[in-house]
Amino acid sequence: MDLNAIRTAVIEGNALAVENGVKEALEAKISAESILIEALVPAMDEVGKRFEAGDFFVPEMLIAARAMKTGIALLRPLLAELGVEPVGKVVIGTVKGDLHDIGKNLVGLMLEGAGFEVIDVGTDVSIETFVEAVQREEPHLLGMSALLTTTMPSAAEVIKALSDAGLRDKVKVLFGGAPVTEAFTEQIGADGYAPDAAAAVTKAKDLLGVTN
Amino acid sequence: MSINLNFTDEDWQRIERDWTAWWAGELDRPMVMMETFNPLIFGSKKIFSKDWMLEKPVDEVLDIFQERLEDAHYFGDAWPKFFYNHGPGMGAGFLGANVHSMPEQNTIWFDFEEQAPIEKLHLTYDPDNIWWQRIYNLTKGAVERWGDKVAVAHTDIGGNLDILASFRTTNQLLYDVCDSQEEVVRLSNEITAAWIRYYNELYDVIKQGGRGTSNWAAVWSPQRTYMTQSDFCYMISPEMFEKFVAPDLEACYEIMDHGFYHLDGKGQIIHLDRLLEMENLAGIQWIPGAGQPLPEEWTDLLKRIIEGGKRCQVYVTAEGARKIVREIGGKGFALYVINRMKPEEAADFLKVLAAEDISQH
Repeated sequence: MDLNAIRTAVIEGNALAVENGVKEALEAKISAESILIEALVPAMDEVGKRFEAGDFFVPEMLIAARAMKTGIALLRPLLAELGVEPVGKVVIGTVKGDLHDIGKNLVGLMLEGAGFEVIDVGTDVSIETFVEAVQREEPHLLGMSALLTTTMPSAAEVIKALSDAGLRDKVKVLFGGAPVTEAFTEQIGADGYAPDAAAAVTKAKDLLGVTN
Repeated sequence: MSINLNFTDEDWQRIERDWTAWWAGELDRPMVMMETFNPLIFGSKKIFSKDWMLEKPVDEVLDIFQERLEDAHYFGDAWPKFFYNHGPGMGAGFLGANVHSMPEQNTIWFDFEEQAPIEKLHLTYDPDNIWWQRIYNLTKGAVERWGDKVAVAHTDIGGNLDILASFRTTNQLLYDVCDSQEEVVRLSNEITAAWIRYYNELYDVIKQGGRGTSNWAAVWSPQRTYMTQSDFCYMISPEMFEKFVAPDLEACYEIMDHGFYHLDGKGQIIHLDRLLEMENLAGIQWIPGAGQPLPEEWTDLLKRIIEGGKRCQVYVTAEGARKIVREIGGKGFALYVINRMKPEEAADFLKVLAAEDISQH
């Protein structure tokens, strides 16, 4: 089984071809870890690059991520048996007062595609819910999203609440969304800024010291 | 009921004369609008309450608006307008989506409980829809009350894929445009047919007032105008725009004299060339989006719009308007100046703008 075929199927968003390809690869005794690292992860990396280059748009990213998840679902129990750990754990959510979820969902899908475990706490997430999620899940990274200038300040309140709860040093904070700027992110004391989903993966890897 | 506006019949004659010349390309200056209140902001929290949206008698709603209209002053090329803000894309409500008001968050949103297969979804005009009835009655009541004193605007009907997203959810529609392209085209066509009917039926009421047409944006026409939109196209490729959005827009512009497009955010700029090709599209409104540089900073983009043969509408500060007339020239622009000014300040500002406008020198 050619892992390139799986990689191509992910990029083309062909979930059925990914499912068949992964099954064939496993039957051919290719390890789950190899399929993940040599086919699925680089495929999503390529999808992110095409998005950043303006060759892919949101629908193409979504169907690629859906195809990737089809493969991941087949591999997950085998990876657990092998003791393969995710490259990091991330809690993501859209800040209080903000119901937008497309950008946040894309970030989650792209992080999964890069090998992260993603806990999505949803939209319109209160400060308390973010803090509780960090306490409960102990993620390496908290990713917050905002699409409105009026809701952006809520991210600052979450960061302050994390500090008050003694959690700030235990988690990196990434903030993004259409109106968010790098300067605003620095001002509120977040660790990183990402303008889009593909950039969020790169930044998450940087912050956690994950190498490709 | 009579209305006492700070706006005379002579003012209306001036508005009709100058806007007509502007559309015809016969005016070397921009249209410049200033008001003492912002109709996009005023009272919207109250308006988005359920009581206001559906239950308050039409006359009581109009009483409140009348107070504001009588209190307002209009400078430059601004005109008295009644735009009843029922939120973005009420066409979804007209077609049967659930309408959820969120007055504290200053908005409304739509959903649809039946998540049936896309093949089973059919969207058709329903004359008895409560939201359509409400908007129709408010529009009719306003025209009957104010006649030719106030321009009654079309409500915000919405863009075709934005309306469809209210039924499918935005997330699902993003999959649909890949998985079920023919069904998306079919539904877009159904929405467009209904949209044109809503526009025309409201137009038949509005034209009785004899003060042209307008909409939520700062554009007025003695004939038929509207600010079309497609927020969904921020997320899709030019190929998908061509397949799903362009046919709808062109169908809408065919029934208008002065169709306008709401270009919202840098993600939509990739569609600008296609928009400029649309023969019946008269103008493009540029909204940079939250967190982005102000409209006047997008000089190359504004030039592309004007040099592409379209009118251009932007919301700007007084300084922003001056930058545009100095660097590009005001001809072809409709500049809504967001600063609040006293009458003498507005008059002085218009003189400064005229002196600096390279289109006029």
